[in-house]
Amino acid sequence: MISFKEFRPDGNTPIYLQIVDYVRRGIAFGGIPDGDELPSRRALSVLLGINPNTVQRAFGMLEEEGLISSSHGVTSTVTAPPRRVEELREEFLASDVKAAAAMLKRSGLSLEQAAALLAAYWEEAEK
Amino acid sequence: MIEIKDLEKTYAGGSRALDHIDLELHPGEIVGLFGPNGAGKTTLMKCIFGYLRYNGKITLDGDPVTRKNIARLSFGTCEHSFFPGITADDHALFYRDHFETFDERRFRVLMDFFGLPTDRKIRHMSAGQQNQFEVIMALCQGADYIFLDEPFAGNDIFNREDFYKVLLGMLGPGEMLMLSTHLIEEVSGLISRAVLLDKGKIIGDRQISELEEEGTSLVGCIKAAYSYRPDRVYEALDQLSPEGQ
Amino acid sequence: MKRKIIMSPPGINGGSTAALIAASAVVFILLLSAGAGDTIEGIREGWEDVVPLDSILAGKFAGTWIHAALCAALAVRNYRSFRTEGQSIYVMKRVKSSSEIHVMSLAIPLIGAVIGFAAAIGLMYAYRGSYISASAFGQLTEYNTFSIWRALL
Repeated sequence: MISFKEFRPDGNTPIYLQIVDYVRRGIAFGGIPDGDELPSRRALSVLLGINPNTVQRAFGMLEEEGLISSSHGVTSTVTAPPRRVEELREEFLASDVKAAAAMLKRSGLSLEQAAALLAAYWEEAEK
Repeated sequence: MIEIKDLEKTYAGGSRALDHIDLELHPGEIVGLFGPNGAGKTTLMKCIFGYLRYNGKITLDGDPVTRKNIARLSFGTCEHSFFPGITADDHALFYRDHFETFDERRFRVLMDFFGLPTDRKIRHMSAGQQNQFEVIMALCQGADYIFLDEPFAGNDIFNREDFYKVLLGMLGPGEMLMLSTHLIEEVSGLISRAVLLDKGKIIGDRQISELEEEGTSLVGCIKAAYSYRPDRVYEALDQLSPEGQ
Repeated sequence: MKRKIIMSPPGINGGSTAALIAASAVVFILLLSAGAGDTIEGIREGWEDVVPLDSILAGKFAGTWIHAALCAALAVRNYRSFRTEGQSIYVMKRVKSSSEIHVMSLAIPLIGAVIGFAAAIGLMYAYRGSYISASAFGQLTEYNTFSIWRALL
């Protein structure tokens, strides 16, 4: 069962998008294995204190992306074969790195300086 | 469905508390009712129950609200609508005798969950506990349409968050909950619809899903609706400071 | 499901209701017994001087009216109890039977008032009975007419 213990909503993006993002990241970066069960819509609604319609939207979007499938209409399971996981990882990596590159560029660094900074902090960085 | 058509309420002095309100409330909705003090939130709820006289039409599934169907509505007021001289257990007996739909099991679960004493007279509970009790009775009457007026005043944030979660777990698809509150951010995840009231008029009625599509936060939507000017504080202070004179 | 018939507003201190009734009963009895001595004197004098019964009894039943006023005050307090220290009136307005609040508020005061008047009338007839048997003139019909009802006022 996927745990939503680490889910921390921020006040900026719509909550349903944050839930979708949480599940996608979990699948991409290993927290959530293929075939794992999601909490029911009702259970997640109560757990997070969020209206069930919002949860439904998030689940609907995940289904559309083919990342989850609903069996028996109540519980949903993750459908993420290794190829799909790889795709997701690349998507996230691409967007995260793009954002970092933009930020570094805005600070006025050159590519060499940025690379040096990256190398300097590589060792310290947590996995 | 509760249908409110052209609701108007004017007090004897001529002040208009509600100005031609049209509103529909459907089962399954959790509606946040927002507005500054005096906007008419409490008045609106009291008119629905017929506790105040009004002009206009209010129907419940097509019928006017009378003693025959009013038990389908329940009201958690901020005015302590309980019997202060008896215990919670006595209230359960009273409700069991007078409301066929009274849900005793829900009552026991909620009293237990919030740690409220069932054998103490309500007047001997703390203010926060009395508020919680008021909400519990409104939730256990067995009504299809539940109205809570500023239900969490006097309760700390942990109690409030617990309450929201309990509500979400407990409310069935056939129940409608309308709650008026100032705690916009807190309830923004809980509600499915926001109705904004100002000086007796509805100035906004949005589905949360619409706001999410637009990318607007509830707080942002409300600030825009009430033409909130963030610099007005700055302007006022500017006038008060020595440099401003 | 058995419905209890509630005889007073929930939580209204049964003690104060009882106290009110006891106090009014005491007043009632005191006034009447103060009157009883006069009345018996009056009946004896009436025996000699033909004093009509209603003038003997006049004013002796003031206690009944005080008692009735206290019962009315109790009813008022009962009705008000739904709007003081809380607005339980909102709950009462959602209850199926619109007479519920009236039963709760009026039951005890009405019963009290009825008992009070019944006791007064009973006592009055008792005096009338003694008057008739004690005074020779009491046998005369002019003196035991319905006008004794005026004594109640």
